Amino acid sequence: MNPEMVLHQVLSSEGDRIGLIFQAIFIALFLFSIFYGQRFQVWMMLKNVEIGLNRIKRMRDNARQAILDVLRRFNNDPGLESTVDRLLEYFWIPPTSIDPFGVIGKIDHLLNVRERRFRWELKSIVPNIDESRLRNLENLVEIGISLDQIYRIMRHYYLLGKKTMSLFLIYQAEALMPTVLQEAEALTDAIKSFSTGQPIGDGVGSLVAARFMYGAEKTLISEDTIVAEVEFEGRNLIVVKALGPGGNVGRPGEAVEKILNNRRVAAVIMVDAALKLEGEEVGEVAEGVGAAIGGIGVDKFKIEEAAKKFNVPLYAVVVKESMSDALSTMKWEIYVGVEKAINRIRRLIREKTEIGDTVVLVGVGNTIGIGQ
Amino acid sequence: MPMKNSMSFLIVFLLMMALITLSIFFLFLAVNAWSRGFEGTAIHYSIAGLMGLIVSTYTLARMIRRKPSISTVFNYEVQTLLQCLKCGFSNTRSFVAGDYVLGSSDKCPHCSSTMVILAIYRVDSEKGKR
Repeated sequence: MNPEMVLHQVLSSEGDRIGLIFQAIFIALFLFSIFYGQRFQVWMMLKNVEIGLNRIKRMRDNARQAILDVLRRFNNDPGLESTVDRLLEYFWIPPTSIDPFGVIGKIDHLLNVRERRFRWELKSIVPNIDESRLRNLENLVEIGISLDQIYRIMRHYYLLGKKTMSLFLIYQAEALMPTVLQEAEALTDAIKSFSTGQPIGDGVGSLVAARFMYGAEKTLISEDTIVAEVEFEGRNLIVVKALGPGGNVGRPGEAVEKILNNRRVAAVIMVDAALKLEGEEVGEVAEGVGAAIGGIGVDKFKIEEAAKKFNVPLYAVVVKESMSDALSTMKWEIYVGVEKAINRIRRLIREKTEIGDTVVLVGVGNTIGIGQ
Repeated sequence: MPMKNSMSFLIVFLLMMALITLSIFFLFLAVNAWSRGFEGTAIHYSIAGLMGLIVSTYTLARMIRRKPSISTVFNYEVQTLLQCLKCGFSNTRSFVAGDYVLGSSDKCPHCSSTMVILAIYRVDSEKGKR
């Protein structure tokens, strides 16, 4: 149609007619918002959740592929995919806490059983793998399990919301999605580090301990955990860390318990990575008191119990970083933080202990890519 | 799901492009109406055109921003910092599989003793920064 003709037709009509059309549109939109407004809102939120879910699915699939790629270097079994899928669905049931007395011991026992069983499963898939690589592989599969769990849970809420069209259910899923995505991205960041054996940000504690014990004689104090005794400005320094360079966190709780049971100790210093708050700088070092250790709480409980029993002060030094930094290859800023933490520990030992004292230094964290 | 998403993306994109065209046409009508003295009609058309433009550009911008992007997590380089504990010479090179912190590595070019890996760290490329 000729635009000039359209223009002529439109302009020759009364202005009221256009006003009438606008009024009709306004009423139609008003009625639409009354009857379908909430449904439209639910649909928009569901779309947001779907987009996030697709991203998590891609991350989960990437992790699964990375695990398969690593396993195929050692084993070319055609049934490897189904074995990996079975491993990714591996779970553990936490003990009942209706009666909380002794629950830490039960958790410890179940986690040990889980770890042994899991290690056995991996060893049966790749029997010729060395211990260091086996630990890295364990960590890699753990990442795969976490991503798979996240995907399944978010998919559950998405599908449930879609089925029931419940605004509150979908609203919760949409509200949680940014934090869930952040966690999933942090786990995805870890894949490369664990596939190649590079040190991660969480390893700051291990790196500090490794720097103190470098060159000294080391002994195994508990499973995957080593100890070395070094002299520091007249003090006897007992340094504990997980056995590297494989991906290990060791059993620092058990190690500290053993040391405090057998030796007279003036102080326990723990060094670990801590999650930074938004606005804080990566690699910032802070110090305080208490057991600087994360995880489910078993090691923390053991250390606190032993420290209380022998009345030993617990000092903590932390290097701040984000979740993503903690799980991916160590940043230069974090390495600078390690140097600062070493200086802080030296100062702390000088200030809080006397010459001739015995001090325990515990380097907490995953020691992947860090020797000793 | 990705294919379904691409399809719906395309449909909404085409609809928005049609709305932009229509809005521009409305603005054109508004200018003409104004020049011919139909002020009331011109105001109506300009409101319709502007609203259409705002809605379509806003929707398009949100769609493009929301379009799932490929993760950039792998866009970084990993460096290994080596130091000779005998003569103090230090060197940085790309990470090689098998490197680990405090592990022994290459020979020192000055005194030929084995160098120690002091740090393995990542350097974010501009594209990979988040």
